[in-house]
Amino acid sequence: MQTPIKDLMKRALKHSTAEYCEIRVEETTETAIRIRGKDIELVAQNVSAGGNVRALYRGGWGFISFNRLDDLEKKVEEACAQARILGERLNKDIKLYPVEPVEDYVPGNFKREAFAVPLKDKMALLEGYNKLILGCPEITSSSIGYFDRHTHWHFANSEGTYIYQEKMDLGGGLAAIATKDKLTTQDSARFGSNNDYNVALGLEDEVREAAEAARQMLYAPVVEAGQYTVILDPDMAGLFVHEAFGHLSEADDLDEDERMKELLKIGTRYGTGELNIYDSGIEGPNRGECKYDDEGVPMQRTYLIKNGVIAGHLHSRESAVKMGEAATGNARALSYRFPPIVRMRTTCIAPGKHAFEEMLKGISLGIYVQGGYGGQTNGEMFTFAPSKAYMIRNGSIAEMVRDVNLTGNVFDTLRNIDMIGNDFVYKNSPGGCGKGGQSPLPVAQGSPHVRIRNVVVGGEKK
Amino acid sequence: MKSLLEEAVARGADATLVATESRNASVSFEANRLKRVGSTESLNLDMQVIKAGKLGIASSTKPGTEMQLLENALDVAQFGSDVSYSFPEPEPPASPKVYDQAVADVDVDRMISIGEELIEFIKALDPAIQGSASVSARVIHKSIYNTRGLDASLDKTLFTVSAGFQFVEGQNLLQSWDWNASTDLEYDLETMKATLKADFDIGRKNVEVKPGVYDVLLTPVGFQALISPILACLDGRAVMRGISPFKDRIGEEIFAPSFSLIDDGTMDGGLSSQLYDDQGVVCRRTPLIEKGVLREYLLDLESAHRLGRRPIGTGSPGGANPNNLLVIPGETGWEELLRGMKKGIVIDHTMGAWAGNPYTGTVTGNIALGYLVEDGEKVGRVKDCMFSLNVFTHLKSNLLALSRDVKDLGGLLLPYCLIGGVSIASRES
Repeated sequence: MQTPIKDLMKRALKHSTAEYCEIRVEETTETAIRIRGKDIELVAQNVSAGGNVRALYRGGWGFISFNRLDDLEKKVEEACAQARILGERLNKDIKLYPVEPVEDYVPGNFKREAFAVPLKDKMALLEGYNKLILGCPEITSSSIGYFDRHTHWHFANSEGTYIYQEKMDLGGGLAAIATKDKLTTQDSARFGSNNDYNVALGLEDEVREAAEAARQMLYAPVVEAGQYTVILDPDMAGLFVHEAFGHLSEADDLDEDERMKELLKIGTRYGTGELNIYDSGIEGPNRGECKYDDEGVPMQRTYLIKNGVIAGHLHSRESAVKMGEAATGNARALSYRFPPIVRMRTTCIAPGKHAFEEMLKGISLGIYVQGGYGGQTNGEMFTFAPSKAYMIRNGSIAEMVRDVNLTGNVFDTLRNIDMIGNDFVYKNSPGGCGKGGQSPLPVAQGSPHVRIRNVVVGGEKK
Repeated sequence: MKSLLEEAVARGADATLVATESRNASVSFEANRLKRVGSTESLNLDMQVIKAGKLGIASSTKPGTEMQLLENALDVAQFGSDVSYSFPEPEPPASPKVYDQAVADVDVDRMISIGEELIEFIKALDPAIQGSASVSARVIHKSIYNTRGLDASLDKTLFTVSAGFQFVEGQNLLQSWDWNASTDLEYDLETMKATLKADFDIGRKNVEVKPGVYDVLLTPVGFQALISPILACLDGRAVMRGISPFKDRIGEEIFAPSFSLIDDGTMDGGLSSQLYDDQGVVCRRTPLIEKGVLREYLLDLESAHRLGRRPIGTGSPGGANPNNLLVIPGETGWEELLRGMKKGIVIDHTMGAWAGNPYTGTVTGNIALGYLVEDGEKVGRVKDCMFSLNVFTHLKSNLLALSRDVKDLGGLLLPYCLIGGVSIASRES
């Protein structure tokens, strides 16, 4: 499969009339399973295959995506013609960060291939979890989702690079749903990996814990709105750093805005000396990590904040040149239907020095939040919602509360981090990140516990 | 496609095939300049088979692999859901007008000039502003076939214009955007410009908002946050599983009499109009909530069958999928509603309001773009605060008015909504 596509791509690139041209060709097979309550709701086998051509001429980009690969030369000519139409209007000298041309063949180094596991085994595993959930006290329903994807990815550009990568992605959520009177609550165990089906196995304890949390939530009061000191568990802290600072570090939103560049200038202090934030594509078996990004740039670990001070940004080849920095391997695309834009991979807060018990001390009234349910940012503000939350009273974890949603101002909140835990956990969930209409892109997070002062919590005001 | 269905029958299966071909042309402007011209051709084949009472689903974007698609669907059907329905006999559909040859023929130069007009307008607001815009023209040909004789197709066009800006002053980031989508080549750039200018003029002044309970005017964009949990509760599958609080409440008044919600797949110009849903059920117009009374759920074939109701053309293989959704507007213009507010908050863009548990009805989110209102005037932007309300109680007891102005948010047609008693949490200085 490799050789004919490589030759096809290289031949087609000879038709380029642009300053730079690249072709991506992908084929992904996906298995998707959904179980709700006693019903198997969906079992599907999907194939997504196609390609795109992206061309740059005098500052203008042309982009074409397609399903049929039989006239690739024509697609190259069309994308180049689009770029030239723009380039002739713009006439801008936009360079791409230089990357050494490479020919590389990167087969999947998978620990256990999800796509090789028979469907009947996956069904048996998920139906087993479902039975366990439905047998837990006060649980009335369930919601189980699972997917695995196997991708053959080919990339070639007019600079002489050709890369093949084999990728795997899998994820799932095992949610227990409790209903009493007119109130429905839920909690879930979640998993994800880019190389190992085994992460889906042996989750019985997590499933039981989720079912018990959903049951307890039936009796939990709604949180009272206000401003609190909040301790985030590693899962939630990972979501926080993704929303609160990761997106702001994506340089394609900064590179032509002088005021934003000033706000995020390297050397600016935004936290205590204990705060270190990095984004990486090489940490381990996390969703979204691989050897090369969608511009053929090797992934790496990139420090965004070092000892409380801005240390770097996330880049594509274009944004790197515009900001005078190096490409970081963060140009990623959801699929062949989209051009690459700057995206995170595994975003982490490095461990600090504080034990969890130390963080609790001194909080007379606060909230301990666990499990990142979801978050969002618009640059200056962000929100994040936990799966479950407990009040902290006089330095001890107290009663569970529900319907907690937190918000903060990015710049103030980083400064309000006053303790970073000495633990560290990677979190891989089945969801993903959204930006520029490309969602859900697989990403992961890693973090210790983190304590933040003055976090605004929405809810009822009593 | 006919031979594929014949093969399915020969293999002892009933089948439905949905084939969607589309081509899209777009231009995009970033950082005040033209950045990209793009075009997309896509093909999606979605197949459902029922064999021995079990449903198998497969899809493919790979041309020329139809027989493999059938094999995949039959393979997974062995493990698929038990279904209590059959694919429907064809019924005559409505014929919504959703195609405009002018959209199919629009050239890139015209799309560029639309974007340039918007970018020039934004740039004129301030030398430091960062404007973005995009214009796209899409042509869709969707066909549906089943082994009961259904063979229908619909051509649709979509023309979308969007524009927005980011303006940074110190650590203040002001973002605003607006868009206009239609099935024909009609667009209203002046209203978009007016929206962006109003946000630029007022949004640069921050004002403090004290925590408390306020009247709130939700713009159509803001109102979406309240509609999402209602749709989750109307989903026939959630009702079927007993987790929706709307279970066994058909005929009951669950919202204020001024609130009506309709699903309509037959509207001329409807961005989500279609002939048949993805299970082959003919689309129609169905009141879901009529004058506050629950009339119908969003149904797919399975939930309709199990709940003993007639399918309404909102089905897909995995559950319900609404067509155009309309909240019936009120009689007062939104500006008049604003002028009538003594003290309150306008909520336009929200963040994170989707993150709650829809079945409790609680909606809590950050006010990403909102304004404090005093004596009928927006006096400045509110930031770093959360709003919180309960859809079930607030739309029943606290709904003050709906505007006559409606915006189409991509098949979701909403008015402005004035609502009382909304809890606001904010940073304490």
